[in-house]
Amino acid sequence: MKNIVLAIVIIIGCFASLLMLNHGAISARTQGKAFALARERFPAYTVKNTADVYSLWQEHQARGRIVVHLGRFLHFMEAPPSSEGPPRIATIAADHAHFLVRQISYKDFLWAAFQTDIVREIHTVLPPADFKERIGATPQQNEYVIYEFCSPRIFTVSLPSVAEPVLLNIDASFFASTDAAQLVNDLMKSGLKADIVTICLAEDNPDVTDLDRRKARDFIALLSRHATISEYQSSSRFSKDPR
Amino acid sequence: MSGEEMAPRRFFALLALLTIVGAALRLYWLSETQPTGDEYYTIAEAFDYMTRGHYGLEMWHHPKLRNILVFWAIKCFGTNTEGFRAASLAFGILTIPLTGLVARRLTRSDAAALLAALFMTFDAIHIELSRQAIQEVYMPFFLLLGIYLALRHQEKKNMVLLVLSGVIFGLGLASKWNVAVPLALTLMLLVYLCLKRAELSLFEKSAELLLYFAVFAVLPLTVYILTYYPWLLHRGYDLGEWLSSQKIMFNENLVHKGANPEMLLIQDHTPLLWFLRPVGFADFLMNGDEPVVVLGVSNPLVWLLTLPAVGYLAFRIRTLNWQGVFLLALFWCSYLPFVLSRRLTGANTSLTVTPFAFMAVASVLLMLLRDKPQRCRYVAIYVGVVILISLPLYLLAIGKGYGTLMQPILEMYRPLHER
Repeated sequence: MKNIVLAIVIIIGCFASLLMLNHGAISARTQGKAFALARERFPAYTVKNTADVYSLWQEHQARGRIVVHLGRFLHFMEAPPSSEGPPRIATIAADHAHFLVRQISYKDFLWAAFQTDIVREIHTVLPPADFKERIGATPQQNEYVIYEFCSPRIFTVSLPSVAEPVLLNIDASFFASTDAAQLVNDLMKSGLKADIVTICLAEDNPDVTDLDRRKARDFIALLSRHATISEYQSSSRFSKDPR
Repeated sequence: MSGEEMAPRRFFALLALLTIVGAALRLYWLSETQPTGDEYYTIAEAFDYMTRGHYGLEMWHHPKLRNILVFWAIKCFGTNTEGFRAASLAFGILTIPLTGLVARRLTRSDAAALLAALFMTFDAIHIELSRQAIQEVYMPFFLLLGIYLALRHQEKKNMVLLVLSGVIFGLGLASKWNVAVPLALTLMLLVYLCLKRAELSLFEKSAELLLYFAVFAVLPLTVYILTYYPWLLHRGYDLGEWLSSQKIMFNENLVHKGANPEMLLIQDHTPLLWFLRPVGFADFLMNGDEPVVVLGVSNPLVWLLTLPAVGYLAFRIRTLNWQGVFLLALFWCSYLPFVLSRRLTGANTSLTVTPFAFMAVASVLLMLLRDKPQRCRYVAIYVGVVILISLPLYLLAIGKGYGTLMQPILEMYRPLHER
């Protein structure tokens, strides 16, 4: 009888500790009030610079989130080391200088968000031509998944289906080959829920054309029928001195 | 198996002496060495993992206990070489008495147990890896401690020892998945011994089997998952996503070729050769302006006797007690997956197999010498030659071989483009 009791105590104890760990992990995600984009009027922000999207997420204390990013660029270039040569062990132990994000730009804002635990999974929606060029995909393939040390980065050509509320960012570069009205239509048909929606004009990104930005403004005008759009003014150090 | 016994006080005194010698060998000249490239990444990854929950460059496809231990070792003992290597040093040193204690139970011979512990004391690959902040020496420590506690439970029927064994095996799994093999074999042994007991009723047997399932399946798995707490709690992943990450790590493990192609060309990474010719594991560091190569090379007088020894035990399997069969199973079940795998496996991984190899060699040697009138002299001569060969290998293992008579051995491990 003693053996059975001990076995049951161990099994229940293990199961309970794993449940608590899972609960703690899910609780570590922080999000604001989520809106179903197709059914509710939702708040959205226009953002001038790409790096400001990071600042906005940071100000909202977003953590452990899934990002859906629409655009032609991946914004995932790893920042160069903050100091010359390999970090000294004492430095690593004292301030973790090897991964402090000192400056964020359009080149790396998604990488930085990933590194600083704002983001745990990234869905990048690419225009089909860019998807084919970057992934080298066959006409049938419309999704490609890679893992950054076990964290998924998913590349698609259409809005993904994600069960939990996401951070949605629409970059002006996406309009290089996408019609604004079509995108509004797609968004309204999608099952996406989001607490922070950003439309980024990418004024810090020289690869985005004025025409793209004009189309993005058209999109903002169309979206205002469904969303309350405000302009985001960044107070973050990250947006003051773009690289 | 060998039937050599001595007074317990004498056995433990000699085992303590070997442990002290082993500790001295593992600690000597440690302060003056610099971290290896692997260790820089290990330390950075330990902090990445513990403060942000990130997997990093250094062997991300392996479990994460190393990150936790290196992080806390640095927090407790500082950023000096002894500090960040504290866990490896402690486990490396403690593996010596554990080898003796487990061998004593599996070979039923105090002399064989001491001989196996002596092999571990002077093993250059174990010495080299005990002096590095990587996880290789965690495995023999945890698997031997897990087996020891399970065997002690079998003798004393102490539940605390049994539960501790499950926890320790869980920590072993969290060091490297290879520990699953001795864990499974220990579970099978206990199940076998339980089923064999005629005095137990069916209900009592079922209750004991349920307990073994809880202790050796549920508990280690839980301990293993709990070591992922920084990844889960910092990054917000749930257990479903954790399971997906394990699949990705598993897939990487099947094909992993290391981060440095140059290393691939120079390292021994064919497990089939581990016990057929001397093999080595090299790492590199700079000490000031001087290049230092640390190179662990297997002692041929011990390692090359392994296959004849386990072959001899297999040949005599009908005469072996369950301890002997268990030792044989531990060796072959730990070793064969590496041999059969198409993945490249470095000699560093041999540490999950060598404790059993050393036990088998020690046991068979003493078995064969049992009836010889001058067996003490033969053993003393053999031990003397083993130690003599170990001395130059020791200098190579701690990075003192550069610019000495051992230079030709080091040159074998020089990258091709530098030759």
